[in-house]
Amino acid sequence: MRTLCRMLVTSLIVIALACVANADEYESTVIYTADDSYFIEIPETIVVGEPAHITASEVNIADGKTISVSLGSVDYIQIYNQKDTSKPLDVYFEKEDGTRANTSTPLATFDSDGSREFTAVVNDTTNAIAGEYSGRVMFEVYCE
Amino acid sequence: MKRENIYISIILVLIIILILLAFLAIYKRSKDTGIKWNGETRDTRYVKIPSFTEIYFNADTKIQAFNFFNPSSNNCSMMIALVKDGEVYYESDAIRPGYELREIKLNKTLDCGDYQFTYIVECCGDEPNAQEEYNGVNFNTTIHVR
Repeated sequence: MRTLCRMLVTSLIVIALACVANADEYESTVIYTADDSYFIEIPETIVVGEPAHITASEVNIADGKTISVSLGSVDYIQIYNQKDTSKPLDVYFEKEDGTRANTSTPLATFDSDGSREFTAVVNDTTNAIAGEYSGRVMFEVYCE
Repeated sequence: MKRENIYISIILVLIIILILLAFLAIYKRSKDTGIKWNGETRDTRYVKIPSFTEIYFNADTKIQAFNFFNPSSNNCSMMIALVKDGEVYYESDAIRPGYELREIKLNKTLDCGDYQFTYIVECCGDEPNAQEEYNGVNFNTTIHVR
């Protein structure tokens, strides 16, 4: 009986080894694409003539991609005096190198964490009415 | 010997008086001429906004999982909106710093497909129904509906 058991176990091991030896190898690839992610930091309010910053942090984007921050489809924004909204002022945004952001030139670009300085400037104040002017900037952000 | 000690004491007292006078002169001068400017004239407050380049939704349902958070380091609330071709699919109330959205209800369902959306983040005052409106960001994002 013991001999029969030994023979049975041995033959099972041999069969198993043979199966492993003859087994076809299949390869499988697991694919996962992590989405681009980052934080953009913008000033709550911008004072004309004073420097402000746009910052990109925790930037995790694919190689070759760039984060662009622009003014969208406009070259400047308009700010209004609440007492008289008929004479808005045009506000442009100048980058550190002195160039102005426009529809074809983004205000800031990033491919990693960083900060870019800019200054809001008003071209012509000849028609300005005394008092406080205000307006809102909606920055447009692309990652391409 | 005793006289020497007196001279040393007088000299020490004179030195202390001179030091005090020098400090007073520097203090007075700094009050008159201001402090060193560090390049920033006012404390500009900044808003940190999380990006979404891809959003994943389920087809044919208005209720969607969507995790958006307003970092607790911010001083202002945020309102978000999802807009496609001028049509608003979702608009939130003001989300205070440290708070998040986990589920949203769209105004209409989406069919399967990939859509280009503008994900708008508008910053506003911290109090509910606050009137202050700060700057904001329009993110170009792709919504994948499966």
